Amino acid sequence: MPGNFVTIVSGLPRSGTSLMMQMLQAGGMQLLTDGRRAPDDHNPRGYLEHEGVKHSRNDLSWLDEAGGKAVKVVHLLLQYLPTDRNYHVLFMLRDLQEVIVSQRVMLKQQGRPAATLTDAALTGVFEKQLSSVRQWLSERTNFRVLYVNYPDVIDHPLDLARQINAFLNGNLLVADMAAAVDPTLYRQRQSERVNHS
Amino acid sequence: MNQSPKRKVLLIGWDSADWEMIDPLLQSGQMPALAQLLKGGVRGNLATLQPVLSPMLWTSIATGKRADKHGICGFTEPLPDGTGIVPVRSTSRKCKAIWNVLSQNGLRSNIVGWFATDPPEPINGIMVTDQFLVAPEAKIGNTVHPPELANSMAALRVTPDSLMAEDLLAFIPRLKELDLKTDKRPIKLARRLAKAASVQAVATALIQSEPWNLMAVYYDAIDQFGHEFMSYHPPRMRGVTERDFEFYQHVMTGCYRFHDMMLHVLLQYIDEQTNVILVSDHGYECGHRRPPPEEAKKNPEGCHRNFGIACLKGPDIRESERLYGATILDVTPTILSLLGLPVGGDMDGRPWLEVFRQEVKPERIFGWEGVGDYKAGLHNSEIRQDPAEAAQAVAQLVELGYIAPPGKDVQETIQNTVRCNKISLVRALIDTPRMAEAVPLLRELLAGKKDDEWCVLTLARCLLGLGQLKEARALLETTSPEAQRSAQVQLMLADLALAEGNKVQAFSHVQAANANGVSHHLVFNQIGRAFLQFNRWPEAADAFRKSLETEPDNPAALDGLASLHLAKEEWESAVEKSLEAVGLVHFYPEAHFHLAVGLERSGRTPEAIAAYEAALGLGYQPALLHRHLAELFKAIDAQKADAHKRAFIRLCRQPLYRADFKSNLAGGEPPTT
Repeated sequence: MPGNFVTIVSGLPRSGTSLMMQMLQAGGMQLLTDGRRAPDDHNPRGYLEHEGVKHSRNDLSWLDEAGGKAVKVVHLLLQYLPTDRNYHVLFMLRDLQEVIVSQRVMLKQQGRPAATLTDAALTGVFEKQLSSVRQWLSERTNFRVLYVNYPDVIDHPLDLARQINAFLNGNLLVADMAAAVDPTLYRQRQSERVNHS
Repeated sequence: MNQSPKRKVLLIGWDSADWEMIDPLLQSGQMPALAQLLKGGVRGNLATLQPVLSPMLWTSIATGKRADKHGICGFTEPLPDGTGIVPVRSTSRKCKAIWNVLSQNGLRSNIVGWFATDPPEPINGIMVTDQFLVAPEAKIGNTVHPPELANSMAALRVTPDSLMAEDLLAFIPRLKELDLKTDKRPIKLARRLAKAASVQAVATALIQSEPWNLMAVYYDAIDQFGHEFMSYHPPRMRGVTERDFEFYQHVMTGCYRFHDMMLHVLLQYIDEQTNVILVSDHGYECGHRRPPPEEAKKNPEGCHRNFGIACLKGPDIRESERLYGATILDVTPTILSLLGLPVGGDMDGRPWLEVFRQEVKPERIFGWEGVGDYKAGLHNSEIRQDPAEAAQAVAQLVELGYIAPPGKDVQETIQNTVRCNKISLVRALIDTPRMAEAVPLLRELLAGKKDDEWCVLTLARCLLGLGQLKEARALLETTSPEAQRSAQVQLMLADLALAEGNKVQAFSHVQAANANGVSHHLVFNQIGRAFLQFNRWPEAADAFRKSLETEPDNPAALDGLASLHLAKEEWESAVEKSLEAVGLVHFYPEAHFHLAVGLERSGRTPEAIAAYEAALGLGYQPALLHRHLAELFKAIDAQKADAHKRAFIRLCRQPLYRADFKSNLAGGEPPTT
């Protein structure tokens, strides 16, 4: 197992970061999670998160336990990571319309308020965030990044698992990683939504 | 206009400068540099916009556009990552500023201290932002473009500590008698003075060392001094102690004299190719209309007057002319014309061609947005964004559980900031007036705070203007009994009753409003208009007279008097009052219409046509106007007459709602609580 870097799974919420964590877990990688966020209808296999990460603006103590492990960090918090160590980032990309629909569905079911912005405005903001984060990552020598398209993971799990394994310099169990992908959980696919509409 | 490539413009901004303060100082010889500028130059009033908030106004000055187009709607904005608020930033501006337009045309700008310019844009020239003046040493490099100039600029900053007691004596001659441990006002004065001195030091360095076509320098000190010291300016106000008056009565005079000295220095470094424009964004009450000190502290905007100053001089400017009807929106179009560049058709102002030495027909283009962006010195598109939208998106990520929420106080601060900025945008929209665009924003605001009376009343006023009478009435009925008794609500109820055909009820509401102990000139104007509708001319005249007593620079009252003269068939008097009104504010389509009617009735047909067309050009489209033009063109231009006749018929077929009680009240200041 690689031990001289922290593996980060990042991206927008609802872009497939939990699926990626599940793949890594299935492949044999140790995860930094605390199990506090329980599985639900939106992530039946669990979120695989660490509460401490959410406080990264003010407290990075969770990083002390992260060496050699994989941890989920939302895209906007990457910029708070210190430059004194190396990171390999699996950055999930997914159609923004799908992301927004999925986020709205999740918030509605949880009874929590969503942004009152139109989809177009929210898409614009997320596009800028992603662009800005990608630019920031490209300027950091201690970050290596593999951008992963969520639909590719669903459609070609084995190919992606191989790529990810190579990226992490590891001895991950590629077949098990691919087997962890359950395509039935891809519920906001753009083409399907279009067909249903 | 093909201008010489050597032409230059020096634009100086004095926040809050007011002729009412300046004129006595000019007469007593205390502002010799400005006197020199005025000698052989042009002066005029400069109408401000609502709301009278400096970041919005100075961005309008720099863009030629209103706040809904430029996007700067307050002093602060949320950070895009939702962790707090910051002073408004250049990344939130939604359109190009004059320096971007100049950059893309290969012209250089040196910009110093202008509102909402941080972070600095990579323009063709030098940008020293507003935050440069307050940035900590370690971050100063982020406030200057190009960054390699940051160190040399930083060395020019003047700190309050570096000022000597003698430096303050011109403002507080008896400074040595004050105990600075208990009275912090001299320290505040020193801070503001140091900031102004920093602006001046940077400007003086750049004006000499860096080439420029536009040099724009902004000073906030007159406004800042005013909010702290105008209460002490003579004559002594009630609520100001004799001791405070004795010590601080010279501060404002000293402040204006200090600006005159700074002006003198800058004028030493210009050549004969340079046109100078000195403007302020609004005025500042300095006489008997000053609000009481406590009220001024609670509502700083209430100290502002609706007219600032404009002063021009240079090789392309006529000598000893007067500028009429100018607004702050005109500054950028005027500079573009002086530099030989086309004015954007999407700009809300006009170039002051009437004071140009040579007759000029400026080229107009549809707009500068989206044209030549790659060399306009804009921020890249990733960092240009609406801060309120960005903060909302982050809040959604917090709700999704991926980011820990900021502290409750931070959340409240952000929410309040977004709300205040939205209210400012509403006020900007109804100033035009664009009620239909304001309505959805007001509904959003009310969804967040249902008992916000200002929002309720403003929404009711908008709905009334849009003819949605039932909802307007329902809203008014939800207000408190105290609000329902107010002149503002009584006038709206009168308007409703009139629209519903109940003249008796309407008149009783107008009388109730009039008996309400009114003291605000805007309410007097409303009451005057209401009385006009009932042909109660003496009462109308009385209301307009009271309004003018309260606020002499008062185009709505003058236009009201013009309407009164029209009603009484006193055509020449109507023309006179209308001319006074449009002389104060050019963007006043109803006043142009009334002027046109007066001119037409006086037999001055060509002038009447011009005035009708001016009203049309400003978006005023009543059927009546087309009927007048159809009549006037009948003997001159059959084609035009026919076009206006068709427009008249078309407009007559449209359902007409006549909400004649023209009100600015709904666009007035929201409560400060």
